[in-house]
Amino acid sequence: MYPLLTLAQEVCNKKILKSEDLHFIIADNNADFRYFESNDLYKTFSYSEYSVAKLRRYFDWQNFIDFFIFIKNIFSSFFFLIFNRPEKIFSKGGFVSLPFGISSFFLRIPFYLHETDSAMGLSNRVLSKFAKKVFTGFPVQNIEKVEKEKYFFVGNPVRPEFFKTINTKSDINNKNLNVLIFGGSQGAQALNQWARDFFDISKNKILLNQIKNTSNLNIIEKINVLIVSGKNKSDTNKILNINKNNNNNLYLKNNYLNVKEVEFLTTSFVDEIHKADIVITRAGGSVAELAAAKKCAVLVPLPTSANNHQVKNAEYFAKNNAVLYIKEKDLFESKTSILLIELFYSKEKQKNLSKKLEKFAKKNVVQDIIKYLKI
Amino acid sequence: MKRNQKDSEKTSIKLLKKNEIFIPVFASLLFLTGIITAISNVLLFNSFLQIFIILIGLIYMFLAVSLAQYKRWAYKVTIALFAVITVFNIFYLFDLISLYFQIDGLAPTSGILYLIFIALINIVLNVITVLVLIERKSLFKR
Repeated sequence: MYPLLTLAQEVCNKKILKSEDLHFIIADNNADFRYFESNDLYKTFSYSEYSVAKLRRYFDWQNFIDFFIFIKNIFSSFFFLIFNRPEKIFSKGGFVSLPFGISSFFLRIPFYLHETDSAMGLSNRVLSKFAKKVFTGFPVQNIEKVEKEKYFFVGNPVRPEFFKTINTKSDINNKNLNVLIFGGSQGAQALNQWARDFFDISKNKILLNQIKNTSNLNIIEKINVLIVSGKNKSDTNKILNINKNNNNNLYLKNNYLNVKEVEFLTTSFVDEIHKADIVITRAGGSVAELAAAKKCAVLVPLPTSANNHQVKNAEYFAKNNAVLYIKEKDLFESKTSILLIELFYSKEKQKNLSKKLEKFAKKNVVQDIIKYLKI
Repeated sequence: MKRNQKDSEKTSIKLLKKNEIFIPVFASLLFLTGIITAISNVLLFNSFLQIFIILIGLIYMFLAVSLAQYKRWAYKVTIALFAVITVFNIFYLFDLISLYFQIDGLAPTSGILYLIFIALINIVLNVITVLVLIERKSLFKR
């Protein structure tokens, strides 16, 4: 949703199109829909909701129901396009746009696709056959089996707020370490659990030993941890316990380790990213935002992601030493704890990683897309 | 497609052919007629003559999709097709009327009256369709 909104807002800001010339198709009952509703975006842009019909490549009764939903979506998208006849369709892919891609092919409406990840999912592989142009977030050679001539590496659109540099003068002497942890929707559970264990001093002796080392206290005066757990995944009792355990510990004076957990970040997401020194997250589209915000990122790719795209994304950045790449199965290993704690207490390492990740941030993505779309 | 209750607050979508509703409605109906004709004849297939009807259904679908794309040739073919259908309907109407007057007093004429009524409606609708299509000539690309 964010990349699409970035593109839409840029197109409107530059007066290339008016907001009423744009229409969004969004999946109902998901995070995109909630974001659209909660930010009053429906007042600016018109939108339609579609139930998503997925093809799960494992046995699930939902596949049978989704077959009929898919047929219904094909027809409704077909008639939607007949009645509204857009000049161009720009899609971020996914199963919600599959019926529109197919219908646009029959109605000869130019269809453009943007692939965020380094590996294409099933829906995007199908959609790419119908697309006039395919924009990619990663270099094209990373995407396998493609018709090169219609692929254009543009990067991932990022909201301009991420590029804004915050006032770093006050941060030079700031000895606080802000850690932001979020796992998105699918992958939040494992990251939440790990974070709750990792920052619980009664469980994590490695972290406790580091804190015991008084020289480290000079490097960091306070550690603030913010866990964005996702809808219905927060465990406030556990967090209260962690803070209680931590505060009762002899070595942790003055609320040294402060852990907070929230279900959602909506409008303050950009601020929280800017505030954070280290961001621990999955390896989806948010990595482009972290690159734009010049953040030190720790990526824990979701092993069950479609076509293993998150692992491939993380490997791409890790190959260039731009992120700290941790496999999910290694999360609870002591070697991972050591690596992370080393990163926490080394501003130099953080700076090094953020500098390298920053090189992947592309500022003109939206302009490039507009140029290719010829709008 | 499920629409949100806040629809009234939303801005409308810009149409390529602004305020044009006839062509989308007509193309949709033509497409539905085509698909229903084709599928029903495939499902209830019992003679090779039906292949011809299935083909007509497919041609209707193709024509509808081309009309939805505002193609000039589709516009011409549709007008020609509907003009021919109208002419056939007029001949059919004359046949029905002459049949109606040939039947003596107590014959079951209500069935024929019904067929005459249907044929009349068909002719009127076809003529309206052709006239509206001609009126919208400028929408179709050359």
